[in-house]
Amino acid sequence: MLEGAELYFNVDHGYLEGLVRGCKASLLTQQDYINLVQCETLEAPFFQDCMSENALDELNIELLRNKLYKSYLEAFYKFCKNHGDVTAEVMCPILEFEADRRAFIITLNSFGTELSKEDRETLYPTFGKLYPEGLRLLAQAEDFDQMKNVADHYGVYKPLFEAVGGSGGKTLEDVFYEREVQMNVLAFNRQFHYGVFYAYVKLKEQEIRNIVWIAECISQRHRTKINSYIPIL
Amino acid sequence: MAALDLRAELDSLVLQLLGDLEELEGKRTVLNARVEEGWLSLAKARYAMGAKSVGPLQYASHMEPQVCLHASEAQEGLQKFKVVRAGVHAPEEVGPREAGLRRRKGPTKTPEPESSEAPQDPLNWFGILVPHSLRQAQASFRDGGRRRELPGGLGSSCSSRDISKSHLEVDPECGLTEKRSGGRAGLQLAADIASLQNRIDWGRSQLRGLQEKLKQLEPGAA
Repeated sequence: MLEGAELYFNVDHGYLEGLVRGCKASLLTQQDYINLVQCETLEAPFFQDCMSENALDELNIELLRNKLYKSYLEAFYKFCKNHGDVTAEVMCPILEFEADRRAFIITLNSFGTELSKEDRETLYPTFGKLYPEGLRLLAQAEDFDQMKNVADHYGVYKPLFEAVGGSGGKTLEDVFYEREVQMNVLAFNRQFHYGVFYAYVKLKEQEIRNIVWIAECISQRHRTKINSYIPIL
Repeated sequence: MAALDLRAELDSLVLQLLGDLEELEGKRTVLNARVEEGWLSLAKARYAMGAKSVGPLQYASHMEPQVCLHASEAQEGLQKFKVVRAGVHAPEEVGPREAGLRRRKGPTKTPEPESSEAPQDPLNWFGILVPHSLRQAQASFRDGGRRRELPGGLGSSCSSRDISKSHLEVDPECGLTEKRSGGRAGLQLAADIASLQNRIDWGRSQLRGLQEKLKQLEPGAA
């Protein structure tokens, strides 16, 4: 697994993610990368918006990855909205929440890094409850408290931010995962829409995360922490 | 008379040995606590980022260590260990590095004196926007790495490659943590623990020697 792992990962993550990792692991040179990335793939349209960065240092790879995800999310949102009907009613709030969550998490993780505020703003998806005023405020935030102030303007996010910390030592990511699980479970209450497939996959991912967490707790002998996973009811 | 002197020497040696053992025990518990913390933070990071985003896929199989351990002979034939940060050397000091003990699987070619750029912060293997738990993990390992004892104590008979290989084989994922614990201050106490262990081993051999001498003297006196 040790030496060959870089060669097999793209089975799960897609061709372009594989290229990025190959570059990072020094399997591919920059020229290889540029040649390979110009093939036609499913992800190619998303890459066209982002391929201005040719220097593949750490920061640019991160920017690339996040811009790619942003393009994908925006395209997906547009697709759901155009589909209309119950699917749009179910999927659009879920995707809006995803966009807002990404905005918050990107902001939180960028504190203390070399990512500038302007760059940070280009990574925020352009839809969701936070768009556009919230995102503008978020781009100026410099610490967790300022971010919390921005969230307090929104009724949905205020209680989430208040739940951070507390007795259980919950992080912002935990709180967001919980909310995502709630929304995905509710998707099953409606009938005859495609959102159930998305919800099912997301809930399966959460299940996998829970299992991995429990396994790690057992192997590290932290049995008391086993129960801090998110139950899917 | 000689027996009395020997006994006094024996007593002081035993006292010193016990003191060293206590110090070692204390450092070991602190080390274990920090390393456990680090592993838990790593598990939390894996939860937040996804299990495949925090693992051996994120780094190349060959890398340069950020920090090296230098072994040097001190008084009484004891080995002393000193932690040196890579990339901060003057060209003349680069020579002894080959004899130094490496804490990572690094290439063992002769390092060029001109390569003075510091190796990349291991946190950046996981991207720029990493969750807080990953940074916490790095901090814990940095502090914990300070006190890390290399396995089995260090005698001058151990070769550097054996140490790094056996250490990484014992816990394959430990390699990940070793790579992440890059702090110079971090490894200094690891070196201290190793020196302590050495001193204890040396003390024990001295003790045995003295006990032999005493046995020889006692029957003679009687």
